[in-house]
Amino acid sequence: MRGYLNEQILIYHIKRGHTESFAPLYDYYVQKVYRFVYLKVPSASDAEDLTSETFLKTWQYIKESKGIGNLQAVIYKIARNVVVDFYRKRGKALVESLDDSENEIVIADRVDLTLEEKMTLKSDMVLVEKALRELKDTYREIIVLHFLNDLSLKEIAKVVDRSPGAVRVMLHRGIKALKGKLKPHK
Amino acid sequence: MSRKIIKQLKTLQRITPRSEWQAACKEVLLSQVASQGMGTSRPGTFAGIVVYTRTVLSGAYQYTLGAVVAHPAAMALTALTILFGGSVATLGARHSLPGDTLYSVKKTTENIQVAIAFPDQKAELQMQQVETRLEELDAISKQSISDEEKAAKVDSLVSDVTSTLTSAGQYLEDIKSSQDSKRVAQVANAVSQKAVRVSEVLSKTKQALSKPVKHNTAPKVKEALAQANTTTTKALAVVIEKNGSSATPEEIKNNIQDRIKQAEEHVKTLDQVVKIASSTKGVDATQVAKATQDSKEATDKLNIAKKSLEKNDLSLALMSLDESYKLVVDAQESAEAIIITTPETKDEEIKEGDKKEETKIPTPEKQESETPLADPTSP
Repeated sequence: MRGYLNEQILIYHIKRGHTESFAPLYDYYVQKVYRFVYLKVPSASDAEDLTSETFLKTWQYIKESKGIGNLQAVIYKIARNVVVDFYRKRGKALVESLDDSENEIVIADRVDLTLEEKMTLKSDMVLVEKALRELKDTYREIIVLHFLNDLSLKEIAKVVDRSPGAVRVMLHRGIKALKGKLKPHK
Repeated sequence: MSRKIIKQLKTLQRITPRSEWQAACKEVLLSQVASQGMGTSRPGTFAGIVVYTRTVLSGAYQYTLGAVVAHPAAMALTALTILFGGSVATLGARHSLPGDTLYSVKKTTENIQVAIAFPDQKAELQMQQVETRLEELDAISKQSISDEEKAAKVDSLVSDVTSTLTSAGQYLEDIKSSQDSKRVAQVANAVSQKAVRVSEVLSKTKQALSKPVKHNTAPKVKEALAQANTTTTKALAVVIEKNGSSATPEEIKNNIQDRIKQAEEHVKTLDQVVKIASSTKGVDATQVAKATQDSKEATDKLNIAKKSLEKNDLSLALMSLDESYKLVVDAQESAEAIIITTPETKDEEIKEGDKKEETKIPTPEKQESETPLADPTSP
């Protein structure tokens, strides 16, 4: 996590019209936002569209708001709303197309892994991704934020507007549900 | 919690966007927002450059100067954006099509352009986007890809056309109460003209599609054509309301006159098809009766529109024309139902009837390609 003060300085400069200050924020959050969105939508191209829309809306939010206490929570909240709008516009039917080749996670160019390791890794990733996508949205969201994007329970609570205690319970239930989903594959 | 599961979950941290997209998206975002972030002048204008230069050179904004000196690339990028309204990635993405790597960059650029535009520019920008979608549609229709893939791309593009037309109408509505009536009328006039062209181009593109693609995308195309008509009517209504500015009453009159003529042609073709279809064995009499009734009511409404136009009552003329359009759509649906439900021999019978009537009536397949039956909004 970037320091709170650093973020506040960048926000201050963006509000003053120094748009280049948006670059460090983009660099820091783009992969996290993409990953968060990717696991909510049917295709990588949708994830790209919605990630760029999230950053555009974040920029507008920063420009228009008087002050931002927690930028991380704002960005994830915007991303959640962008995904909700996406499904509202296009209907839920799109959720089906998960097996498209374009969605394959590219690990072929990893030079640090042997062929066997690549195969195992890919197999693990595909299985867990599939199981994760089958979970309830609320569970999946919290699992992604905590284990993939490294947010603390307190930070997640701010994103999902729940208490840290409620988040802990949901995370526990989510993992239990994920275990259940992964069992039949073994 | 199971360590194994967590370990498996952590493997998903490898999910990252394509690096070329990540870089291009950043470039587009920064270059586009930079053109707005520097001052209050419109992006891409000479005034914008002047304001920007003054801001940087005056020293009033120390940070800006420092940042630009420290980041010559950012300066070049911003200057390029202000001068040409686009950056390297934007230029590269400009000709991309759905499915291309840079297509999402193109869409991002467009979204940003609308987001940062002044309220009176948004509707026109949306209409430009509709034109871009139509160009893409034309390119996709000529691609050598499977029917399934083509239908999916066409469907998505046409949906985009519908939603962008809707947004253009909304943006027009937003500026309707503006003090600057002349500008509002100018925007409305441009929107109405472009919306008419959308119907024209969409109909032509549809004709170029293969039968399965045409069939699979028909509902979305119909929706887009209906939206094009709604947007045209809405925009013309604004032009009439703000009359006395950009478009002369004569221009508006001519525009409505042309649309009445188009609608009359549709009704005429429809009547001929219904007449021949009704003489065919096994035809659904209820559908024929419905199509005939709708067609008659549409003709009545067109007559009202014509009379109103003669009396210079443009609003009533436009309203009657719009009602007539809706009736033509209903009649067309009934006619299509007749064609679909009538036994296969019907094609031949229509051709026979065609000869007897000595009128060139196309077969159902040809109707779509040679007459505007399916598209009452097209000229």
